[in-house]
Formats: sequence, C-alpha cells, structure tokens
Amino acid sequence: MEELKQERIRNFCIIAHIDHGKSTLADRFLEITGTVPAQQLSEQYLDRMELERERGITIKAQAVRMYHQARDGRNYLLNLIDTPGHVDFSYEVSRSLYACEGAILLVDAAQGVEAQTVGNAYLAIEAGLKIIPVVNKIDLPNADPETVSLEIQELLGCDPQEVLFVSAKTGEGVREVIEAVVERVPPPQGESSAPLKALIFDSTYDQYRGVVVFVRLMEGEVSKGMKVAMLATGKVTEVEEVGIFSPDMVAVTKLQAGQVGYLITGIKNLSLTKVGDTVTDASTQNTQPLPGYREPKPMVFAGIYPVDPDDYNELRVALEKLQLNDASLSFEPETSKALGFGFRCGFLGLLHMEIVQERLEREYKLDLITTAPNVVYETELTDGSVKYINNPSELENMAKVKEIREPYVKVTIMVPSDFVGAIMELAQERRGIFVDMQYRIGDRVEIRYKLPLAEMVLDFYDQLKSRTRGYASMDYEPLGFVRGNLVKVDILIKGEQVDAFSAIVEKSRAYQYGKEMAKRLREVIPRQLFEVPIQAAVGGRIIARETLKAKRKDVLAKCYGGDVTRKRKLLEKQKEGKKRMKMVGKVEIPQEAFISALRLGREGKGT
Amino acid sequence: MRLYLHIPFCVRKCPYCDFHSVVADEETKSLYINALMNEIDLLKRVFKSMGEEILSLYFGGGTPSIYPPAELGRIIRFCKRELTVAREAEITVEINPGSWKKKELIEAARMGFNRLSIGAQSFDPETLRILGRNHTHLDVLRLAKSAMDLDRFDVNLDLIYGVPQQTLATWRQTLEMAVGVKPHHLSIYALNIPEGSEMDRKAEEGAWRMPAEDEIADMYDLACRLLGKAGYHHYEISNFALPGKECAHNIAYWERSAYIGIGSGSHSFLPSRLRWSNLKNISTYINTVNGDMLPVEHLEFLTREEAWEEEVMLSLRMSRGLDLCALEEFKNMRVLSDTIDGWQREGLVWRKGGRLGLSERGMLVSNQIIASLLGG
Repeated sequence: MEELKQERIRNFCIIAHIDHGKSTLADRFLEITGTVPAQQLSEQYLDRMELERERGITIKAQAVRMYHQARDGRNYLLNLIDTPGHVDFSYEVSRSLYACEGAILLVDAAQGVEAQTVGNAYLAIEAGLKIIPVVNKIDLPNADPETVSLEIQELLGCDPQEVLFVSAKTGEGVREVIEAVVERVPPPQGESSAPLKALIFDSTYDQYRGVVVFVRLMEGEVSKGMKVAMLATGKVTEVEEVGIFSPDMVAVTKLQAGQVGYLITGIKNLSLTKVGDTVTDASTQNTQPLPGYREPKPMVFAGIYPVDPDDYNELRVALEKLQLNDASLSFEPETSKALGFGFRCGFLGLLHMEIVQERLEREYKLDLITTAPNVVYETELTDGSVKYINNPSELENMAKVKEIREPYVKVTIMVPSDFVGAIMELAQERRGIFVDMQYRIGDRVEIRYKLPLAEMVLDFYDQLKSRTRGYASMDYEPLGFVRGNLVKVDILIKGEQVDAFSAIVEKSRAYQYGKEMAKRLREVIPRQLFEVPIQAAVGGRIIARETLKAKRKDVLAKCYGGDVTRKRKLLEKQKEGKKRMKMVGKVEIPQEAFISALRLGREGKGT
Repeated sequence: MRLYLHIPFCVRKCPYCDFHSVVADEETKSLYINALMNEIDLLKRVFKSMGEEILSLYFGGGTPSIYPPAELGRIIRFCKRELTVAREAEITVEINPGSWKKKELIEAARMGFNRLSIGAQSFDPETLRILGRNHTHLDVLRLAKSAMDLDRFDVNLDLIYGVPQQTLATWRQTLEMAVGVKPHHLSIYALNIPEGSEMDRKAEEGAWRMPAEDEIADMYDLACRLLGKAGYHHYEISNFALPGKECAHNIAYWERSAYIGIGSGSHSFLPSRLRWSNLKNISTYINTVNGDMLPVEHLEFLTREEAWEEEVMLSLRMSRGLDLCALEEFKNMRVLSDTIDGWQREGLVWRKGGRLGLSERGMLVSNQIIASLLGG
C-alpha cells in the first residue's frame, strides 16, 4: 500500500440527524472506493454492534481509511470518522470533529434541517471545519430538495452551488460528494518532525488485546516500541502496535501527522484513555495538551436491580464488562429496601441509559428493574460544604441542607410553526424558561428554552414527539446548576418509607407527585388482610394519603367429592407466591407491583 | 369408613362447571352402573381390611338424579349386601330441580336415601338464567317443598353468590326464600369462574356486570347474618346446618377420616397418607373395572409435611378450628405468633383452649391465612 504525502490526505466526518442516511452514505463510499467489495457490504457496515444497526444510530465512533483516485488523476487517502449520532454523546461528537478538517452535513430531503443538524453544524463550524452541505434521499416521492437547500444556505450562509444532491440509497450523486471532499476539504496541517501530539477521539476494549485507542495525529509520528504518555491521566505506556482501519484493523509501521489510526498499548483499563485526551511522547517535557478536554460526567442516574436476587453477581460482572467499552458509564452498589441489592448507575443521558439497559438485557440475558431516572443535584449544606447527590434517598436530613441546585439544559427545538403553541405549553408544564424564537425557511421555527434536566429525563422527548405528531426535533446542551425550590417527597406504606419511590421535586409539584404515586401504588399493590395507608410526606409532614382497603375475599369452594389434592396444590402455589413477595413492614408487595409503579413513574408525569 | 359414588353425567354442561361430568347416552349410563358395582366388588377386601362399618354413602356428580331412584337403589342394595353398612348410615343423593319430582322422592326414600342435597343455586330467575340452569325458580321451590313435606329426608340446598348481574338485593331474596323452606342444611358457595369456560368468555366480552370483591364479600356477610339469625350454625366455610344436622359425610373429608370414592374421576383417602384418584375417561374406566383391574389414575403417598399441610388447611375450614399443637409440629410458633396476633387484632381469627380458628370474616380470606401459616 503506497504511503501518501500529507497534502493528499483528507480527514472528514459526516454529521446528520438520526435517520437522515449517514450510515448508508458511508457504505456507498466504501463501495465506490473499493474499500469493501459490494457483495461483502452488509447493510450499514459501520454500525457494527447489533443494537446500533437495529436502532439505526451510532454509539461508538468508527474510523475507516479509503483510497480514491480523483478526477485530477491523483490518488488520495480519505479518512472517514463516523461520529456518534445522538445528543447524549455530543462531547464525543465534538472530539471526533476535532480529528477532522472537513464535514459532510447531510440533510434528509423530505425532513429538512432538524435541531440536531443545527447543533452539530455549529459544533463543526466552531471546530473550524470546512462544511460540505449535502441533501440526501432525493429519490423519495415527498422529497423537497429545493426548500431544504434554502434551509441549509440560511443555516450555513453558503452559496447555492455549494449544496450537493444525492441519493445514498441508489448511489446517485455520491461520486460528486467524494470529489467535493477531495477538492474542498483542506489537507491536515502539522509537522511529522514535531514532538508527538495525538488526539484520542474514541477508545474501545478488545478482550484479547486490551484497550484500542482511536487517534488523530496532530503533530509528530508514532510507531511500535515508542513510550507514550496520556496527558490527562498521566499514564505512561509503551506502544505495542499502530495501525489503520481499512475498515478492519490493519497494523502499519507508523502513523504520521495528519493521519488517523489506532494505538494498542499495555493499558487494560479504559478509564486511563479518555476521549479528548492528548497522547504525547513520554520523553518530551511540558507538552501542551490539545484544547477542549473534559471529564465525562454522568448527568442521569437510575438504580438497576436484578429481578432475581441471585443474578446480582452476574449483573455486576456485566456492568464491569460494559464499562470496559464505555468509560462514561459509572456504577456503584446500592441497597434498596424494596428492590434488594443492585447498582446506582450514571449515564450521559436518557438514550445512553436505555442503551446500557438494553445491552444488559440482550447481551447478558439479565432480567432487570430500573428505577425512575433522576438527575444529579448539587447541595450546599449549612456548614458551607457542597455535596453531589445522585440518589434522592441520600438526602436524609433536609435540615442540614442550605440549598439544593439542579442541572439545567438549553433545549433547541425545531418545529413547523403550527406547533409553536404545543411546544410552549409543554415547556411551561416542565418549568421551561423561554430564551428566544426564530423563524426559518419553509414555515419552520427554532425555539430555545432553558429547562431543568430533571424535567427532561422523564418523558420530555416522547411528549414533544407526540404533541407535534413527530414533526419536532430537539437538541440540548448542559447549562450547569441552578438554585431551585426543591423538596424530597417520601412515600410511606403503612408507615414504612419505601426508598425506591422517593423523589426530589420542585416544591409546587410535591403534592401532585405524592398524590399520583400514592394513587398508583394503591392500584398496583394487592389488598392485604388489613387496611394499608399509603402516604406521601415532605420532611415528615404528610401531604397526601390513599387507603388500600383490606382484602375481604380469597376463598376456595368446596372439595368436590373429596378432591383434597387439588386444593392443597392451589394453596401451595399461593404459598410459593407469598415467598416471592417483598416485605415492606408487614405489607406483602409483589415484585410486579414495584415494577409497574416505577414504570408509571417514568411515563405518567404531569399528564 | 365412608363411601362416595360419582355419577359423572349431566343433561348438559353448566357454563361455569370445570368438574368431571359429561353428557352421555343411555347405554353408557347403564354400563356405568354395573361398572360401579364391579369396582365395589374389586375393593371389597380393602373395605374388609379397614374393618369399619360404612357410616355414610354419598351419590354426587355430575347429576346422580339423571338416573331414576331405583337404579341408584340397586347400588345401595348391593353395598348393603356386600359390605357392612351401618344401620343409621347417612345416605345422600345430589339432585337437580327439574329431574326428580315428588314421585321420585317417595321412591328415593324407599330405596334408603335419607338425605337430599338439592342443587337449587338461586331463587332468582335472572341468576338461574346466567348460570345456564335448566330449571326455574318455581321448580326449585316446588322440589324443596315436596322434599320437606315428605319428612323422610334431611334436606340441603346449594346456593351460589357472586354471580354476574346478581345484586345484594336479589341475593337477599334468594336467602330469604331458602330460609322460608326451612331446610336442615344450607351450602353457600362463591361462584368461581374457571378460566377458559364459556362463562369466562362471556364475562370477558363485557356483556355482564361482574360483582366486585367487596360486593361479593357483602353477600357473604349477609348470608352469615341471615342464616345465623334463622338458627343455622356456620360449621364450615361454606356450610350451615341446624343443630345436629351437619353433613357427616363431608365432615369426614375435613377431618381426614377414611373414604373410598367409586366411579370415574372419584377420589379416595386412607389415613393418614394415602390418596388416589380414578380414571377420568368413562369408557376407559368401564373397561378397566370390567377387566377386574383397579381403575386408579393417580396414587400418591403424602409426605409427612404434605399430610400436615392438609391437616392445617382442612381443619381451618371448620369452625372448630385447628389444634395449635399440630401447628407447632412444623412451624416456629415464636415467629408465627406475631402474625397470628395481628390477625386476631383484625378480627380474622380466634384462639381458645389451645385451638386456632377463623372468624366468619376470616373464613372468607382463608386462602391468605392458610397460605401464610403454611409458608411462615
């Protein structure tokens, strides 16, 4: 394989909203450049994980090297860096962008510019990338490429002739896009002779080889045997292998400035190779890190418990394995009176949470209960110290707490103007603070709100979709902690507090939450032999009460002709059922009741 | 020793029934009677080895009254000839209103029957219609009156509550009419709709108003109150009797004394741990017995714990309750005592003279209490 000069290298990525055809376009590139023969090309080659393919989204970044003979007759090396496609991973997206010089902004000809397109386009512009606007799916019957092109021109402030039109599905226009990458995207800068500086834009764990670090070399070069250091973690290690993606991993002798590839070192722990960190030559001192590094910080938390307590160890092992490949997943053991032993897990966002949950259930065949998600709170205690709380039950003594602050996000929503009223109504219900609103081409409106993250983690996105008949799209970015008028609501079943149902809510919503949760529990807990009061309390004061009446009838009819065996078996079944119940004080609660109340907790808020 | 005879035939199947009964032709019915006598013959040595008199005979079903009294009488005669039947033995037959009339009742008395259990179910036309019974409330009333007027029988009426569309008011009427007949004994059952039965399907369709748990409990409370006032003693969860008129045969089931069931699908028990049941398929049953083979389908020798579970479960059905010593055999009373105290405070159980029993309210939730005792 010939080594190409730096000026013939093009590093680029594709940014797009979910379902706008990013992976299909990438597959066409692989096919046209002959990187993967067409017959080997399973649909969406780059989305390798089963779950990714199914959901049509990219969770981990992927990179692939392609060779292409351009119209000018010369050979070019194209590195396509496929970025994660969801707002939960926007930090990872931004790091991937810094590994590139150009970005294809892909927009669906029928859907138009979506909130995420806007968000990612701004990220790309901020990263100084050359943007190639492309309208995809022009073969669709309801495609409106002209309007979409106008939208893009307005968004980027570019000329009409810059916009390309393709159908990634049929392949129409795709070759033009590759030519545009060659012509418009500048070659990478950076000197191979300078000291090594490589950006980690992703990493993955291979069970045989340890951590595989995905890097973009900004300066210098790296080869096998070299001692390197990770600046943020301070880890020093020896390079065991360097290589490229074509698209499978292929070892090469060295990587040089401007190139994209992977490093395998002795590191076995993913948390030592953080996305955004800088890899340098261990022998050089005082190297400045590349800008923009951030510690991944989980924003959404939930308790994950095995339905069968015997699965606890398996769950721990599964979480450890997932963490090997997903450094942003955090977990620690947690005990719940109601649910037994489990883990409090931290996620980047809701989608991240769902993906982890699904992988645990699918890849590790675990049957799980997940508590309603909550956000992390910043509390200032009366002694002036600041404590972060990721589980409502940690907030035991309200008297010691001076102030509770909750995380806010800035939400950008794009929607046809007909639905502006619906959006405003929803945002208001969720304590949203209006920021601004702009009219866009094609009767579309871009609305921005500040919103407590807690309001978003429940079902904001689902509500947004259902109230706008699927037309709205959304993006969000964290804004930091804001002081809130928050209280902890506890749920008591016959006087016993049940930790799984405690929640931190805004004071004015405390009654509503308490009342609804008590009512749901009354509906899902089977009647007992005695009356069971179900109460909601704030700081020891009862704010709502429901009463589960005593069970009055549970009796077997006569022993027909002395058939005692049948009766005994029925009672034995009932006896076994009782054994599986969770005891809250003297109240027997079947696992299913907990699960359905927790599910309701996630669905029904505020509606 | 008790003898149960199962007649698995019905004129038609009731929509709520999941017991062993079929609609059959005349020839099968006649073959079946002979088979019953053959089975008794086969078991003669078992009866002899038990060395006890037969204290009660009970013809149950299905619908025994699908046969004329004389046919059933043949079996009684056969038993009296081949086995040792006590002179005062209680001999019961279950009859459906609309099958036997006054004439047949006189005949039945002549055959030696001294107890009638009438499947009245209700005196309310609407309830009878929903239960799919082929008799009217007038048939019920007429038959019950004839039975009482003859003065040759102890009479029981079976009544059902918790039926779709039934209300507390129509149930009260049924109870009052039943009490008006002054039977010696009343059996009051909560309707259980078996899953997948015709009635279950109809209920699913939503065509009926289904009584809620509380309403059914109210019906039960009403029955307890009205029957208590009329002098009936609530001696078992579902059974009420005038003093001395309890059903001796059924009490044997709950006290775990010996009984042998004859006929297809019948059940037998020899204390303290042997139970078996007969073949359910009628022609297989007939062929097996006629080939001089025992028609046993399932036989089990209970473990000591299973026997104990039965003891707890059956004793607590009776108003006399359970000897607490029996509980201690398998359970840690220190742990259970707390639970039992809780029930006592709720008025569900009583404790007296070393015995534990269910109150009337406790009886209605007996499954919960028994399952807790067995599980605790």
